[in-house]
Amino acid sequence: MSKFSMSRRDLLKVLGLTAVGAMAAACAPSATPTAAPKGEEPVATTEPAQEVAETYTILHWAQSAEPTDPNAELEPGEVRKVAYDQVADAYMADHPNVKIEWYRFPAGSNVVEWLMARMTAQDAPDIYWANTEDLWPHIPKGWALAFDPWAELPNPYVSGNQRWFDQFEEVAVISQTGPDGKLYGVNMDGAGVLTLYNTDAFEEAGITQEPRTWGEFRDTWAVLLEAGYIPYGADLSPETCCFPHWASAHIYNQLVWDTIYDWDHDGNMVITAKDLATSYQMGTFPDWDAYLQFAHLLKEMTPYFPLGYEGQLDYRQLWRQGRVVMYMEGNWAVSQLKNDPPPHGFSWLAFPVVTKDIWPAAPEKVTRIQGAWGAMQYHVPGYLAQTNPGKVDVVMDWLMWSSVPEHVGAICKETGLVPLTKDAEGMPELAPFYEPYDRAVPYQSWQSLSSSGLNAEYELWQQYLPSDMTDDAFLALAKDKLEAEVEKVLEVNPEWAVD
Amino acid sequence: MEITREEPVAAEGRSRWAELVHNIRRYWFCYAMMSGTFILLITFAYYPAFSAFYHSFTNWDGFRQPDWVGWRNYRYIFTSTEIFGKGFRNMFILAAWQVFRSSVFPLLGAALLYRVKSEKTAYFFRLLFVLPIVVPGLVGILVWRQLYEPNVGLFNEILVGLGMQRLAWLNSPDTALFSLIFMGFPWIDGVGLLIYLAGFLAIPLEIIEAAIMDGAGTVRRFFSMELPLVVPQIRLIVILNVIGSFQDFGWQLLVTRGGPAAATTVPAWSMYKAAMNEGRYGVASAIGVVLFILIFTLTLINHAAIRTDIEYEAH
Repeated sequence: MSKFSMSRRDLLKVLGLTAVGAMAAACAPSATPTAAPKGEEPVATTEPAQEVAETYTILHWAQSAEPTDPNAELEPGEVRKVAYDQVADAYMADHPNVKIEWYRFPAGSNVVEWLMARMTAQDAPDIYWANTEDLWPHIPKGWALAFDPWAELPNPYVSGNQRWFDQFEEVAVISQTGPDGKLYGVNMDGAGVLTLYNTDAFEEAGITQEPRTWGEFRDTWAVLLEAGYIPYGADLSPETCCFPHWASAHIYNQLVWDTIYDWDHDGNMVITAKDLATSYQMGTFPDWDAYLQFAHLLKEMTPYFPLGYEGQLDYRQLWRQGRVVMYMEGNWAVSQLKNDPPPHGFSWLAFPVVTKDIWPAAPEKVTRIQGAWGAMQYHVPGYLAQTNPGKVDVVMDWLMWSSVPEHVGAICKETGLVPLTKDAEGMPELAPFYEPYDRAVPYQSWQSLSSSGLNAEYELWQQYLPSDMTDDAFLALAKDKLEAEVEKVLEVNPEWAVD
Repeated sequence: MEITREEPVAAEGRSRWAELVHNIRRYWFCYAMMSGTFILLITFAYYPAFSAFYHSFTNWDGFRQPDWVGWRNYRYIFTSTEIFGKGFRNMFILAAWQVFRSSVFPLLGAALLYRVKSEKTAYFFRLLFVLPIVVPGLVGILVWRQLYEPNVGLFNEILVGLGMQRLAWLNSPDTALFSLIFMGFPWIDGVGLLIYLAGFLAIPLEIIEAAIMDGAGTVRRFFSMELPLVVPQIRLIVILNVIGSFQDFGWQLLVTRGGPAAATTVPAWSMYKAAMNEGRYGVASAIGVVLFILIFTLTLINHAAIRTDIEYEAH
């Protein structure tokens, strides 16, 4: 057998040719999907799904509304969820050509990173969950399908309904309004946030009056600290839901109460990423004086936080152990608290009301996160209208069936979600979340700009709160960080730039 | 094994390209068997790498057509405090530590094992060091996170027991990087240990016996004979760890997310965030290119710097 040999020069030639070829391939038009071409709007049909001859399997990520995996072993106190399965079974019995499958979200994954990968690969579930703030910067890439044509159709499963989206509370609809004014999802439930506290610890510390104002809360925290408790559970990690941006929502919204809708350029009562990017470029967002005051109030809280609050902590577990006395919690915890109660009494408080002695422009009113950040807000990938247009109608039909008030009510009662579908009834234990409040927050934090903005703001607090940074240094740092985040958003959405 | 380089000779007066074609036709089966590997390598290793070079000069969101922006992404990297300031500083600290710990501690472990006379005992200890390889790394990381927990973690309970103040460990910008470095104690990596042990075991017994007869003690033998003879293994470990530590962001992804206050961020983590969290694939590509150039340069320096004149050649 003769030996094949190659000189060094020939080897270099081959490598060079390969490199040039690869470079040329890299310069070729991208093979990744492009955004849906403008002007090619999907057309909704009223054709019922059962009359469609083709068979469809709909993969649905229902977030915490999803039924329990039949193969999953339950945690102590956990109850198997079946309501959405029953809704799906009834639908499939009536629509033999449609199969509903539940998508199990990979545990521990980050939603934005997961979305980025799934949308690039075009293998997202046919229906997926996402908070709209995370979607808005990516709408021009075609991540979500506009629901407008279907929103106008009657829901055939709800008697007397003339327009599907009339079924939902106003906040549920406006929250799905994207930067271009179109509706990018359906929102059947909402979220509420209150302060959960240990009533036994209050009693042991001799606290008889529930605090309402900022000053009363501050006194309460001091008494609890003196009694040996960790008064307030919080951390500054983006991995733990959600103290810094909920605090921002509650406090900062009180400080800019009268001017906050100045940022709402499209007038839909929701502050989107585009609104914030626009306001920033116009110099109206944020109100830096109010922001500094917000920073001071946060700093006042830090002596009452657990050690190591700058990073990730499981303060919910510390609350269950009776070491932490209060923390902000969402309504979705009600179901768990009901099924697996802590070894101490508990109740709910509204967030502290900022009084005029702290901020003269404060309205001294109760504000609350009560809006469309629930588990039953569903979106459809934009590419589905191109890759499988027939399936879109079937998907919408299934969502219409899901949104029948009795169905939403059954799911909410089982999972502790707050219905935003009219005539749907939730769990009675959610009563504190139905109590009146003066305004649901229209803006949360830099998260409303982008998920990267959320991380940047958390990092700002991680630098500022444990340090002795001056006000000037804090403001300089905050301005630098916010400018960088707005630039990132404008880099991905150059059409949002203000001339 | 002696490697000879043959000068290409065109047989039967054929040109070199004709000879190449001739050989391909003659050994087509061998080429066909290898082609799958080459196609996969080109598709999944070389194409993305060259693609990253191109995209590092663009503003690309991964979905729409990229826009050519010249050096903008590189300017961004080298003016960013998080990436170029803290990120590169942390990367060099972590890499230096990683190289040190992966070179020294497994080497000492292997040297001790090499000296164990009883075969059974040596096997037992080898098993003991290698067994952790089968435990998923994630489990170890989660265990360490619990040990570091500031309010109920074991380390702080020990500190309190000793009458000392609790530390925030991973949760404080002041101690987070140190805490990351300390993770994995006693830092004896099973694979590194096996590589070193194989190096020690390959030393011909006659050389060791001759040294003993010449009166060389244990320490002298280690520094004057055994250590120089495992330099190729040290070089391998150093190169692998330089490359690995520059590319790695596992601790950041699973433990600290680069924080708090960017105290533990590294460029590879910024690259991941730029691509997967912000959709800025152009910036991510540029960070990747900078890392590639850095790793390539350090590997060349490493090759040139760590030399040994005492290498065995099999004949």
